[in-house]
Amino acid sequence: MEKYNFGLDEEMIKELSEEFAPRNFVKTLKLSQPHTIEDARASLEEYGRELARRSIEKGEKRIDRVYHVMKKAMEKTGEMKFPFILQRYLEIAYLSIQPFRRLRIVANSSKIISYRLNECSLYKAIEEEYGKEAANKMVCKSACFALIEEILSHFDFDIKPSLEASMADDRKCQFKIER
Amino acid sequence: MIPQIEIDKNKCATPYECKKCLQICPQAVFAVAPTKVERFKETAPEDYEVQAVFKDKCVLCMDCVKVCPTGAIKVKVGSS
Amino acid sequence: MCELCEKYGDNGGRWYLNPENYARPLYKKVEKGKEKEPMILTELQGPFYYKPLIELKDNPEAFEKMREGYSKFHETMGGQVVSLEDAKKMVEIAQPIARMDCICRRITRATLEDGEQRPRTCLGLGVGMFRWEEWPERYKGGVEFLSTEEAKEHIEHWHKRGMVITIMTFGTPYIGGICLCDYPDCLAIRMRLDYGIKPMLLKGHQVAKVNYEECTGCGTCVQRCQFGAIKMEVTTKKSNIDMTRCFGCGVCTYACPQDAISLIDREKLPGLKEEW
Ligand code: SF4
Ligand code: SF4
Ligand code: SF4
Ligand code: SF4
Ligand code: SF4
Repeated sequence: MEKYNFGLDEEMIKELSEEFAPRNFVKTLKLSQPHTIEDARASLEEYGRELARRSIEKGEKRIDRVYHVMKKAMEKTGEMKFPFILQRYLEIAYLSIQPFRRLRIVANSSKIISYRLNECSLYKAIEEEYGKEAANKMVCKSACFALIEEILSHFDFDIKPSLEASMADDRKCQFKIER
Repeated sequence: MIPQIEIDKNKCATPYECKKCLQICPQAVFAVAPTKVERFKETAPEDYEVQAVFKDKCVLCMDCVKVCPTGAIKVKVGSS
Repeated sequence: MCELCEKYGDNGGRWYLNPENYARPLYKKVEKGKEKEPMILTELQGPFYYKPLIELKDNPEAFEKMREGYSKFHETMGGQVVSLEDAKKMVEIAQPIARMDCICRRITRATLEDGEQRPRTCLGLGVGMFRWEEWPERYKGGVEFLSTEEAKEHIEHWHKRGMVITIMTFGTPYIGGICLCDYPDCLAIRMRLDYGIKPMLLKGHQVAKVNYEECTGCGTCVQRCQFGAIKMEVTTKKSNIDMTRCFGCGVCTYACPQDAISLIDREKLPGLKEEW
């Protein structure tokens, strides 16, 4: 049997991680000036959306064996676009900007995707650049929501994601996407 | 007393293909498994091994001994 | 309460209906040189590892001691009997679902379910199924992905023919498969019944009870029970189920032409609610 590669294309992750390095991006936010918070929110949204777009654009070209088999399974059964296509792009996006090696998936059934981040490089970068108080305002969630929403709309899902736990209050973030 | 069951590996070269003892034993005493496994590859027939596992269940009917085409199986009353 | 529900249930619900117990990422970034070898060979050689335990069958004390160790191990890899109704709920949660060869029968009877000559019985669950090609020896004959409806039909088909539906975990509580099992070829049933390795197969959430008014004593159910829980009571001409032996699989309820057997909740019976 052929020796397939089941992992994500490493080059792709590297390219995305350079393009979207949280540290560099966070410097542009100027969060220390209070009146810029609205601007910051807008640019975080743009960052999340763009990360989603680029992940999908690259990910649709670099098809690892897991994605290949998944697509075939979807063709055969007519199911699994939810949760797995969405999960794939969430994983690509987060693995590109986050320090952890696997995204902690809490649920991935035909009705719900939920995942958790016990650490976050974007939050950490904001904290380091602008202080704990700024970070704990959780403006960064605009980036995560934009990322999720862009992936959902790209694959024609009309669902509102929710944040069930946040770094500021719970020392972890947990998102839920439920149909 | 648990019966003693011995299988001569040299005589039983490709157990997964022969499988006669595995299928005839009324007490399902035997088990067959690969001795190695590799990525992207099925194990070769000669890299399988049959072992008598559930020996306490053996009733010494000798069906396995009779059916074995290579005379690889020896079954004896156990001694303590 | 069922130990697994207590630990892994979602607010008192059944543990196998909690979506968290099916969740895994699709990908991970591997550190070069740190790839972990999966325990495929161990899994394939399963019964070989029980030999030392079985050798001690004549020595109850030593056997008991060693059995504890085996039981401990199976707290991470084991399962439970489920009813058809619950299994159908499970496949509504689990994704993907793939039909595959039963590893137990391959080991104990050297039969291969390749889908051509022999229909496949087992269902593999979860994202690991997308990687089956990495281990063709494990997934001999390939796997076939099923839709939720196809999976329900598959389970019902085998269950009505007499197979017990069981859950298999790989790293409890992660649910890796739904198996369709019978004695003696299923290793889980066998290790539980013959050697008392309890966490390898817990009893289900229900137990069967005969309605003596309806039972005509035809005896059909007696032949079906894989756990030896049913006998024909000759004097009363009714079947009798020993509910302390019953695993609640439900096979007999489908076998009975009179619909005389029903499954009732284990936890409603004070005498059985701690009996798993
Ligand atoms: S919402 Fe949570 S996961 Fe998203 S960027 Fe902020 S801290 Fe990180
Ligand atoms: S003697 Fe009979 S019971 Fe014993 S292993 Fe052989 S076939 Fe099985
Ligand atoms: S019958 Fe004999 S040759 Fe055939 S598998 Fe068994 S031991 Fe081997
Ligand atoms: S009595 Fe019925 S439900 Fe109970 S184990 Fe036997 S077949 Fe299954
Ligand atoms: S199959 Fe039904 S009617 Fe027949 S003996 Fe069993 S319970 Fe009674």
